[in-house]
Amino acid sequence: MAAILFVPLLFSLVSCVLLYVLLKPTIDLSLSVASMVIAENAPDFDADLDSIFQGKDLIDRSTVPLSEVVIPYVGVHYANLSIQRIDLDVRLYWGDSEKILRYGAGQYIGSFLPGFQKPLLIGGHNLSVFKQLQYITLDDEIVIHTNYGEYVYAVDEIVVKKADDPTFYQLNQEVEQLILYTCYPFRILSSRRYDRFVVYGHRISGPDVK
Amino acid sequence: MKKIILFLTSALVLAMTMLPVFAATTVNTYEQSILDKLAAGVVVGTKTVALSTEELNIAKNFFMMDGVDFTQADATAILDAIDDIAVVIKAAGVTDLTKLTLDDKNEILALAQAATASVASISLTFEYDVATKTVSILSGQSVMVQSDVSTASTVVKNTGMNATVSFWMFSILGLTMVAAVAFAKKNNLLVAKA
Repeated sequence: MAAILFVPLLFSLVSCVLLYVLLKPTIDLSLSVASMVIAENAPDFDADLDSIFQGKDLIDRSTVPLSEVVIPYVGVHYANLSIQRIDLDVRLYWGDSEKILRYGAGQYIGSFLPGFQKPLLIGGHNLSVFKQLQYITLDDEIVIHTNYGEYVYAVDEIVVKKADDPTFYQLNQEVEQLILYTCYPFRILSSRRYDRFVVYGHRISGPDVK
Repeated sequence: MKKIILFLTSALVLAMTMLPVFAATTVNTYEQSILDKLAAGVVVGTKTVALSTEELNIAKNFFMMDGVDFTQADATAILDAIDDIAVVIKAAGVTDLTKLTLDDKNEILALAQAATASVASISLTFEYDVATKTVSILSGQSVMVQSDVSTASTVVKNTGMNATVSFWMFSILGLTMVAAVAFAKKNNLLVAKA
């Protein structure tokens, strides 16, 4: 009698656990998307999706005063990043939390804005925002369009590295190095979970912030 | 006369309601003293515990943000708090801050919150989110600084989705089910009993 009751329960429990493990990546992604529209509290769109990017045409200048630059709050769209040849044109946000990376490319706030002659570290998801990055070559130019200047970076190096590689970034250097990265490889099934596709570039045009 | 008063009153109201747009500012000497102290760190035994380069950059970017212009009094409050936090860390005797006890972490959090609230030049709050293990400095509802302080935090983020494990488990489960059905058919286990 006990077997009739407990055996089905046991199998049900084991099935639930198995299904959870199997579907976890899909559940996480679905919950992540759902959390954008379903929340316990009323969503504060001003805080989540704010944008200070104006997209206006800019005059060429060699320098721009610091007073014209606005250091954005975390989670704010402050620029657009584009690579014309590979049809990549995405919003660039200040901050790189999981939530921010759902909306666009995210810049680590321990790096610096364009024009400060210091490194920029920017990440994006490999199956969405930075999907086209797999087609980038050494001849390509990366453009970051801000409210105070348009910055062009030439690609120096394209390499695959581990996320914890000590040579991945050097954020204390006095050089404006652009570092774009995304997960590698560019497919949903992979045995290589911890690699990153990394693009390094140096600035070739755009005003210095003084 | 009435028109002049009306005009002046309107201009005054308009001036009061116009919000000043703060642009980025340089790091002033008081803020630089805070950065220098953070960079120096605290000596525990023979090792120095200090913020990383990336964390110092976060602090520097914060001091360049709109409306952040610490006065001497603000800097003094923050520097005193850093000294108090250093005492806690030294007393704990750890060089890895993730190994602080819960009591120590709560004490440091309280010191940071009190110091942040005491800054008079700009209204700031210091928050710690237990669920996401992130610390944030806010001005109103706007997040000025946010940093993951969990043991698993990394500068290079996870920017992909991998379903390899799920794929293989699905495959194994499917094969197991097929094998189970084949076994049951072979042994006539699926035949309804009269």
